[in-house]
Amino acid sequence: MSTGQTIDPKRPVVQVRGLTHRIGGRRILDDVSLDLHAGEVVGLIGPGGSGKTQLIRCLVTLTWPSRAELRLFDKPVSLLRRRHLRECRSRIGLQFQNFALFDYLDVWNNVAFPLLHARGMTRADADGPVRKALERVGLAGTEEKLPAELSGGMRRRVAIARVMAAAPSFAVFDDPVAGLDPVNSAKIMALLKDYARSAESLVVVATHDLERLLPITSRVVAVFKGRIAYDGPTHDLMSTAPDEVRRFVAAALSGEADPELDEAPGGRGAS
Amino acid sequence: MKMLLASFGRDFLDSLARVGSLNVMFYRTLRSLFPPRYDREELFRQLHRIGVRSLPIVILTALLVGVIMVLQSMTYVRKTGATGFVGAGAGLAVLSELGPSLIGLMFSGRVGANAAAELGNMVVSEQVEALRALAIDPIRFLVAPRFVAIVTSLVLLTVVGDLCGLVGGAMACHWLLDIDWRTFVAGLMEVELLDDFIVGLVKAAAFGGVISTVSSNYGLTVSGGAQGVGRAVNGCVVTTALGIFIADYVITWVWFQI
Repeated sequence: MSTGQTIDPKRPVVQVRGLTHRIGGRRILDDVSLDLHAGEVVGLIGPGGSGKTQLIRCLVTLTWPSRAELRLFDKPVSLLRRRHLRECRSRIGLQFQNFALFDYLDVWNNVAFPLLHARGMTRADADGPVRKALERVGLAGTEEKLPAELSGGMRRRVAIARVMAAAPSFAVFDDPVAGLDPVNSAKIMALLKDYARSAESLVVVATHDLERLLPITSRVVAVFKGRIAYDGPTHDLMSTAPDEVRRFVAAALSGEADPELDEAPGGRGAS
Repeated sequence: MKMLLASFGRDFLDSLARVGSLNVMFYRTLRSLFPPRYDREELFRQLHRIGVRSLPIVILTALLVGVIMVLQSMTYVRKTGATGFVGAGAGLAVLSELGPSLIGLMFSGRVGANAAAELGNMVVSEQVEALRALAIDPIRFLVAPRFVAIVTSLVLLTVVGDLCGLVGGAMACHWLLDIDWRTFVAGLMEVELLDDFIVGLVKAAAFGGVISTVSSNYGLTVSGGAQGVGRAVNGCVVTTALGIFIADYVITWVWFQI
C-alpha cells in the first residue's frame, strides 16, 4: 500500500525557507529553514510552547505561514491550484495530538477514512491495509468499537493506524506516545521506525519522550522559542548542539525539569 | 456612555460579519451541491437522524396546531353557527402559515441546535482539521449532506404535518365542538387550498435552507472549546428563529405580489 507516486530520494520531500509565522502579533516561528528527505526519521523536539505543533501545521499546509517559501514534493505550495493542493495533501498523513478521530465512526471506518474518502478506494480494497495497520498497533479485534469505547492510549493507536494504513509519502506523528504505558510506547516507536523503513517515507515525530524518540531517529530538529536551535544527526546531538538544547535533552532523559526552560518537558503534549 | 456605544458598535459589526459569513456559507454550500459528489453514506445517515427521528415530534406538533386552530375559532363558531367555515379556516392557517412555521421552529430547535453542537464539537476535537489534512472539503463532506437532508426532511415532514394538522382539526371539531368531521372536510373543499399548500412547502424548503446554513455556520466557526460550543448553539437557535421569521415574511410578501 502506497500513494503510488515515486519520490526522487535526492530531492527533498519538504523544503522550507525563511518560514515566519505570527499569531496576534506574536512571532511563533522565526525564519525556519529545513530540507527533509524521504527515508529520514526526523525527531522534532523542544519545550512545550516552542512552536513544534505550529511548524507541523505549516509543513502539512493546515496553517498558512505569515511568510515562507515552502515546497512539498518538489512543488511550490503557494503556486499550487486547489486540485494540486488536494493531491499534495492526500500524500501527507498527520496524526493529531488530540487524535481527531471521527466519533460517529467505528475504528474500522476511522482507519479506512483516508483510503475511502481521499484515495477513492472501495471498502473491499481498503479492508486489507486497515486490518494490517490495526494489527501493527495491537488493536486487531476492535474494528467495530466506537472511539468513545476505547481508552486514551487505544484512541492514540487508532490515530497512528489511520496514518499507517494510508502509507503517505510524508507522515507526521504529533506526540504519538503521550498517555501510553512504557511497553506500548516502546512498541509504537519501534513501529514508527519499521514503518519509515518499509514505506520509504519521510517520517517526522514530535514528542517529549526523548528516551524513546532518539534511538529511532536519524536526525533531530530542535525548536526553541520559534527558531531552529539544532538540526543535525541524532548521534551528534549531545556533542554539537547548543547548550540550551543539550540541557533540555539531558533534563528530558533524566526525567528532571530544567529550571531555565519555560516548561518542563513531558508536562504536556508536544506543542 | 462611551463604553455603551463601543459595545453597541462592536455588536453591530459582529452582526454584519455574521451576515456576511452566512451568505458565504450559503453560496459555498450551493456550489458544493453541484455536481452531487457528496458522501452518500453521510447523506443517508443525516436523512435518518434528521428526518425519520423528527417524525414523532412533528406529528405531535401538527396535531396540536390543528386542535388549537379549531379551539381558537370555537367561540366565534358557537356564537354565529358558522360551522362550515371551521374547516376552511383551519386549512388555510395550517397549510400556509402555522404548519410550516411551527414545524420549522420545532425542527430548528431539535435539528439546528444539534447540528451546530455536533459540528462545533468536531471543530474543537480537530475532526474538521483532520478532514482538511486529508484534502477533504468540510463544506462538501459535512455541510452539503446536512443541507440536502434538512431541506428534504423539512419539506416531507411539512407534508406529513399538514395532513396531521388537518386530522387534528377534524378530531377537535368532532370531539370538542360536536361538529361532524364531514362538515369539516366539506369546509376544506370549498376553498382553493392548493396554492396555500404549495406556498407552505416553499416556506418549508426556505426554512430548511436557513436552518442548515445557520447551524453549519455557527458550528464550523466555533472557537474557545466547550464554552464556545455552548455559545454557538445559543447563537444558532436565536439566529435561526429570526431567519425563519424573515424568510416567512419575504415569501408571504412575494406570494401576495404574484
